[in-house]
Amino acid sequence: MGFLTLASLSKVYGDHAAVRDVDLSVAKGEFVSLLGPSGCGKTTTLQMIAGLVEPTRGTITLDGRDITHEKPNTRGLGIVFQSYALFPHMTVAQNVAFGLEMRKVARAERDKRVKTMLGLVHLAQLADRYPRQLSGGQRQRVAIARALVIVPPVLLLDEPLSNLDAKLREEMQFELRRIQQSVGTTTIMVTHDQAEALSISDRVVVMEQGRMTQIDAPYRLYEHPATAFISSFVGKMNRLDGVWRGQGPSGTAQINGVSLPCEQASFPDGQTVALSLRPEKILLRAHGQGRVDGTIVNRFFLGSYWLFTVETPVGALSVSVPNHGEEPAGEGDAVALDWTPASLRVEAITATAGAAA
Amino acid sequence: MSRARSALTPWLLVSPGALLFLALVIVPLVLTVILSFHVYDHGTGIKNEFTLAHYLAVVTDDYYLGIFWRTLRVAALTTLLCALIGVPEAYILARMRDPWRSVFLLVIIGPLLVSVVVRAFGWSMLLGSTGLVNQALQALGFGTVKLLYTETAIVIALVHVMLPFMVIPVWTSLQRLDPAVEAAAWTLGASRFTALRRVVMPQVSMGMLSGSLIVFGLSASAFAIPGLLGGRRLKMAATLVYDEFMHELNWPLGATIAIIVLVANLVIMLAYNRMVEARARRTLG
Amino acid sequence: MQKNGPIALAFHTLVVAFVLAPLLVICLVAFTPENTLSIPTTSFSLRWFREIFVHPDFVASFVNSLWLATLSATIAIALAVPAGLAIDRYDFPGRDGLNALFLSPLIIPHLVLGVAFLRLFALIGATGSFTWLVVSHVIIVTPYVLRLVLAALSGMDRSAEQAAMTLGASHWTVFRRVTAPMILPGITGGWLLAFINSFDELTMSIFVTSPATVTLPVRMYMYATESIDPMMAAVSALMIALTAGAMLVLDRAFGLDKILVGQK
Repeated sequence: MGFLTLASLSKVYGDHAAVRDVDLSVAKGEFVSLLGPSGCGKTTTLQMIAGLVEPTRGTITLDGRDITHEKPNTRGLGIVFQSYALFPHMTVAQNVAFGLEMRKVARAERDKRVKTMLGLVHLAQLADRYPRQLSGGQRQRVAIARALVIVPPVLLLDEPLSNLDAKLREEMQFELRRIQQSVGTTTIMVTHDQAEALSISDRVVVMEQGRMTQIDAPYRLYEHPATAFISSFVGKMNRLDGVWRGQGPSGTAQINGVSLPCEQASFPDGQTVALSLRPEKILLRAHGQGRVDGTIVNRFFLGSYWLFTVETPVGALSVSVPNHGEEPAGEGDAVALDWTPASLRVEAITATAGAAA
Repeated sequence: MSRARSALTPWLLVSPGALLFLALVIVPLVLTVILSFHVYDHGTGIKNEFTLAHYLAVVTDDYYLGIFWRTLRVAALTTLLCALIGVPEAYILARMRDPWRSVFLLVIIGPLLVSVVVRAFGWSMLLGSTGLVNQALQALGFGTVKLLYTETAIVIALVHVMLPFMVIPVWTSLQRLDPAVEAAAWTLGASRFTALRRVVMPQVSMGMLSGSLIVFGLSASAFAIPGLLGGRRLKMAATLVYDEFMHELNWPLGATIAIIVLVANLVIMLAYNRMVEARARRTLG
Repeated sequence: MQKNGPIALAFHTLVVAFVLAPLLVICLVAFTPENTLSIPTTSFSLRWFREIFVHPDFVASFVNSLWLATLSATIAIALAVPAGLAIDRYDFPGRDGLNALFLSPLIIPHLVLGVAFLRLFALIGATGSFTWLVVSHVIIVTPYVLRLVLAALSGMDRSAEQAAMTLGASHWTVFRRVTAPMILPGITGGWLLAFINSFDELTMSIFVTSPATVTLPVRMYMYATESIDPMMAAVSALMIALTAGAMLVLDRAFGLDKILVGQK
């Protein structure tokens, strides 16, 4: 039994199920992300935990207490809204103090806790500013401080970084994790950005069309995506269609007559299969010295690595190669590609969801 | 393009309108101010001599003071009622879902486009001694009440006419309010009422204030409603001016009252602007 | 988004009833077959609508108001569009002052404007002139047009104009082919709003109309102070129908809430 438990939680609007039978158990101090495209039900799930949306079915238990039908103002959870929802007519300090005021915390104690919290988010000097005088990143810190100052058992973050520009977003990701770890609050974050979810979560919950399809640690999610959707949504992926030749585990996948060995796969002869291969798992070799030969059609320099598009007999493949400081092969060069059989994933095409690793 | 031309372009563009407005807003207002100082003689009319007598008469005569007092009272009561009805209504509208939201917003502010005479006439039918309200009262066993040609009738009809002017600015400020802000207050432990009082109301107060000023200003200078629902006896500032001009033919006195109405309006507007600026300075730093 | 509770909905129902009551009563009474102001219970009759056409003064006033509103709205556009362009696109001394001057009729009570126009017209011998009546209405409706034109200009994407400029269009061509079409909704909305405001105007007009130039609202007001009969209801019902029609057009084309509430 976890600290926060969702049991067959569902929300139905008319005949549309926004969230279907979500079961999730979050341990104390854990950072869990709900990841999925817009409309997958992740925000609705968060709002049900917050008490802003009434669940159609299921229960929410917090530390052994059923809070499914409790009002949002008695749940005591900390929430950071996507728009931050700062009170525009109150200063930073007044914003942060609001929750303590509602709890009738004495003045002196209140001021002390607000000060400590603003120090934690590095906003001590801006306490008397109004929200509109702050930058996006600063507003976000205020929102986090306001949610954390009441020492909530659970912190809920609704797309907290989506309103920030790319550079700031990366910075705030790590900042968010630092604050969360220093306070030790159990945290649930909703996001549609896979990089964000992978980098700072202990576990990631992937949601598709109102259902949870995988709950895993970030690296496991990346290496062993449970569904075709997850493998394309999380990280870059080469996808090829082929046919299984040979019977059972001794067979190989074939594309245009090229046979590609792989591990831990077994299908009947003639089964159409989907092959997936991460670009960084492919090695660039000299022509004739790999599994397949090919020609480089495009080359992009992305700073820490190079990204190639290589035309091969099995199709066009993306290949990423770390930047070692010298210029690699160029467009038009003939090369070969190599990879270990273990890194090639094969799935039967007819079976879609549920072909878990 | 030459620099001389670009400097001249805006002037060419505004000049037709600017000249017309100078000639037909500024000049007539100045003429009216001058008119209010002219001596008036009941036998010979306006004389080419100047006096402060009209202003003195207006501020000392109980008859005029009574009318001013009634105008203020009616306008204040109308403003209060509009705020009490319009602010909650705007809040309710803001929380509706489309299409109801747009439909009812149209219902509430649409009557703005219907002529005031028509609306006043509608109320005189409702409030008349044999009107619908009295018929309903009789059917319920109460006696008839004299409503038409009372201040009550004027206030009811004014509230009806002015309501959109209160709903619109409050609605506008509610539109600018992030709906998550109210939810944020709840999640921090505020009750429904506390969230409304501490978070929603401060945001709406400027809209409410500007709505109140518009309603007060328009009510204080309203003409058709007191004219049709107040009858000949219950006069307000505007109907008084009309009578002085059209029946008594004492134009200087009428002009005096009109100028007082104008100055009162401008003072209220200036005070409002001061307040808005002070508030802006406070929140903008 | 939270829903409204039962108390809120009950309050809302009362407000809507209050807002619609006088208009509904007018529309019902207009169809009465009786000689008194009563709501038709047994049969509907168009006799009071026919009665209007027996009163040539009402018909004349209606036609008069129609011309007056059309002319003043059109002239207001001709003044407000260039003025709006100058105020939005150029920085020149006196810009804010001019803007305030153009918008001032919105805060000067119509009563005061009526008195002021009457004084001016009396001095220059223009009382009873239809032309000067139109001019006075132009003053009253121009601010409405200007506000919408300014909102449309500041809301439009300036880079479209710059793009046209880099493609070799002259200033006039840019205005004709890019700016004007882009602010057209604002202009049309402004014209309709100006038309309605001019058509409905009473307080100012009652000071400056003469028996020959009486507008419909003034005629109705005079009539209603003398006697109240179902014909007034019939005329009022027609005006409500006309306004509702204009409202529907405005709403379909631009969203009435946007025009009345105004952008920002």
